[in-house]
Amino acid sequence: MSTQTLLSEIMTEAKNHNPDASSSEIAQGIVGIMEREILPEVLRDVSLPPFPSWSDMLIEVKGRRIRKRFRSREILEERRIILQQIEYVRRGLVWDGTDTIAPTPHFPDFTSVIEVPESGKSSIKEIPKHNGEEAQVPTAEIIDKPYPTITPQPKLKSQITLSTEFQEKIITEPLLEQTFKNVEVGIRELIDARNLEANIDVSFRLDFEIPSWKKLVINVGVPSQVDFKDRMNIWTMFDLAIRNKITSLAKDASDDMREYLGNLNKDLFVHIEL
Amino acid sequence: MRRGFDPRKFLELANQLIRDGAYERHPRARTAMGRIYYTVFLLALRKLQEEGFRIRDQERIHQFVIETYNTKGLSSIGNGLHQLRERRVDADYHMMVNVSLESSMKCAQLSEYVIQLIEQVKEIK
Repeated sequence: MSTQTLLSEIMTEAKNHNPDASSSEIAQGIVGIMEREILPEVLRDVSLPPFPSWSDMLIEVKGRRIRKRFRSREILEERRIILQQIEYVRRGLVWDGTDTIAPTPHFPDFTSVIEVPESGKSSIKEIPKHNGEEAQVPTAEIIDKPYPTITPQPKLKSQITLSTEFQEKIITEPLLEQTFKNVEVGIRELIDARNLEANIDVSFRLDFEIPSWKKLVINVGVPSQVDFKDRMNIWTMFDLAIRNKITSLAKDASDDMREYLGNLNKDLFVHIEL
Repeated sequence: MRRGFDPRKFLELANQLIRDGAYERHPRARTAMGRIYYTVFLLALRKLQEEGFRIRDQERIHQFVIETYNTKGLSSIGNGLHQLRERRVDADYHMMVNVSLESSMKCAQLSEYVIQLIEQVKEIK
């Protein structure tokens, strides 16, 4: 005598109650019930493992750069992403559980975005240290939009978006991190002081005709109703704010740092969306 | 001093092309974009030459001009040149990128602005 699985029992039962329904319709119905009734409960009640520590994340990042044998630790990165996604789904379900997962991710518009905080403050906050070196704060990532019915957070008035390559470079290049931290403060101070609405995109670009020429481009997007003259003024203001921060950093910097900043300034371009 | 061909003529031609409905939209938008960039680039180059700068590496002449403005505290010109260069590269190489007459018109306007900045430069130290 063969033993029926739970699924086949459910299918048989459903078929008995819905003799006119096809197997496909019954299967869709079961999936629908699971999505609506069962899965949210499971997600609410599931006990999650601890979030990977900053020091473990740092070792993973270094391992990725230094030795292949460390690559097994990349599992931490995957774990971090999964935990953040579960947390995201829970928030979408208005979950009010007690255990928290740090850090709380922000998902405006499903891109890696830094919210604009008060002026004078960088989104790169004080971060823990490991063996004397600063650990890096991971940014939130979404692999897939898990629930289409979840309403995304409203778009921010002003936001700074960093390309993936730029984020990775910041992690591995402390001078760039230090510089951009200051540049970002300059940008935010300007946005706050002038009450500007601007979308800032930061990315590296290679020149198509001179492939060895690598540039850092900060693109300033302003609302379409802003006229050309105001657009040019805003462009100049952002350029000044950014380069003034670099200049002031260079004042008391070491020779190495000054050279680094000089090279950065040479191949840094601020664009204005036309 | 003999100045030869005036690069501004390129910009005039670009503006005529943008307005000329006798030609197809996309080819004229792309062609105009190239002339717009070269107007500004050539004026920027001429300004550097007038100030005594010498071009050592002809293959990197565009990089040299743009970077020089950035390093000499004239980043508004460097930024503008670079932005126009990227649009010119799109127009010349990237056929999947939409280069519209509207964007050409905006770039023509931007080029006028950058030309003014170049003309206002008294000295490059």
